[in-house]
Amino acid sequence: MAEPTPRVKLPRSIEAGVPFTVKTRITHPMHTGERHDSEGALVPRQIINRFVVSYGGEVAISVDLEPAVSADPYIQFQLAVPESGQLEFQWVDDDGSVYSLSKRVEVD
Amino acid sequence: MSKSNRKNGLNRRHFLASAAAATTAVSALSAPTVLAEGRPRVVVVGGGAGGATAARYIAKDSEGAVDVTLVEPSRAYYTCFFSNLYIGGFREWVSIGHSYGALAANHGVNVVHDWAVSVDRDARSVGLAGGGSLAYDRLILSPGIDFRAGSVPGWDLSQQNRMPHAYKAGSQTQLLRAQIEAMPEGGTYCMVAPPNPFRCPPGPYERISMVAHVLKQSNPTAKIIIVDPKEKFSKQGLFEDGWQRHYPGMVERIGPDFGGDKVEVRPEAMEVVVDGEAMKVDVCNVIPAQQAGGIAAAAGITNEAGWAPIVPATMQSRADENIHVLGDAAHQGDMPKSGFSANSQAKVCAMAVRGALTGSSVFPPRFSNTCWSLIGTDDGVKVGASYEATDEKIAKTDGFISQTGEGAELRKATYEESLGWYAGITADMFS
Repeated sequence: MAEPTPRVKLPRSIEAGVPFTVKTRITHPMHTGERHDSEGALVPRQIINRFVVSYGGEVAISVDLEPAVSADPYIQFQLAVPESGQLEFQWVDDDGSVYSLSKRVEVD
Repeated sequence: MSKSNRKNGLNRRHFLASAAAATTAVSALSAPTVLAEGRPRVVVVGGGAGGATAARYIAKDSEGAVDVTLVEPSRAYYTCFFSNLYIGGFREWVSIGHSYGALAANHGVNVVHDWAVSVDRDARSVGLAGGGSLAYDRLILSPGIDFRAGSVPGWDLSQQNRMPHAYKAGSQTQLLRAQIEAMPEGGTYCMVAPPNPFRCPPGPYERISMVAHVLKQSNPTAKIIIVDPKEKFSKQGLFEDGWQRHYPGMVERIGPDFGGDKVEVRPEAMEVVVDGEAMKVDVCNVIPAQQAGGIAAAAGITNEAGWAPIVPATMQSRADENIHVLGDAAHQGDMPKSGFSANSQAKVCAMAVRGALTGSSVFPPRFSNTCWSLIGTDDGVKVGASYEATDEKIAKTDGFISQTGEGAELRKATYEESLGWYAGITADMFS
């Protein structure tokens, strides 16, 4: 399987204290553990089960994902930050892998 | 080419039209009047699904009463349709190549292998790159597409060996397949998809399916990225469902929501820059924005978007009644730019041209199209419709599309139907 690719999209300009939209997505097949392959064998469960975003070392949002979530999970949320800093994104795979991405936020 | 010159100059067609209007008894005699001056001449520019079909039908059905010349630079024609199946390993290269020999031998078409580079609409003649010119009573332009300069910053034709488009079938298609086969293990194939409108709406996404099919076998950790300026695309639900079933986790599409509409490429560094962020890739398939093939603009019959508006019932240019435009180059309304559409339009056009030049019967035009796509082995899908000519445009009357969740038998039958169609349309063009 190809290595999952995480992506994050932030607005071009961000103001201190004003909520903005964060769009995130990771490529992942999200195998539910209920499906069979073309030979009839059960495909074992393998999903992204947790998504965590922190800002300046503090958790901003934490999401538990279940097998019903579709492939390439897309998560969008609103965030307001008091000052410039570093946004850290982490996606946790059933197999223990952690995929991460870091984005600098500069407030105007 | 100016319209004022044309009005002042002698115009035999206008004279005949007014003579025919004066008395119905004369109209039946107008065709022999033309014949008395020598056979009417039709020049067709472009030997693809539109041009080859039009040349063949006019020559065949007029039984020698019309002199038909086809101008096409390629000696062997490789069809753009099914070229993705070559990339996927489902077709041999030779199986999508065709010769113009039968058009000349069986139907008397004068096949000229040259580039048409200019049109003198007042003198009604076409200039060739080789220096000659061809006079016409009716000109049929079926030049396909050209790429819009500057639509993908960093890319131009000088870079097409590093970053192939492979969107006109030929050496580019072979190059792209060779590059995919040479990708390093776990490497990245990137496609920069075109904005609307463009040739073969499902084409880029069928290509993604075929690239995934090849990589799944030879290079299963490889990645495929589509950088796409469009919100949505043809048969999207069917393709995305198929990609998850056949190639889970392999295909990622970066739409405008993630900056796919802000792309540039750096061919020397093999980088694709999406919304300011550079990605290193191993193969980059750039399919630029498109417009009508250059001869349409040279003839002065294109609109601001670069396509040639036509009258639906006859496929005549809205700017010049002696010129017809077929296929991808035409701005016609609801039909997709496909080989099937061009072939369908060519038959309507051929009937209209024969009617105008020889007085043969002209029936109400009917158009149809189907676009098949192969997602994986024996997993074919299709979308299609019927169309009618209104004053304004070629308008869709009813349509159909494959559904997700269809059984394997139906998908296999759909793929086999496409094989039959390919055999049929290529015979309709070249036999």
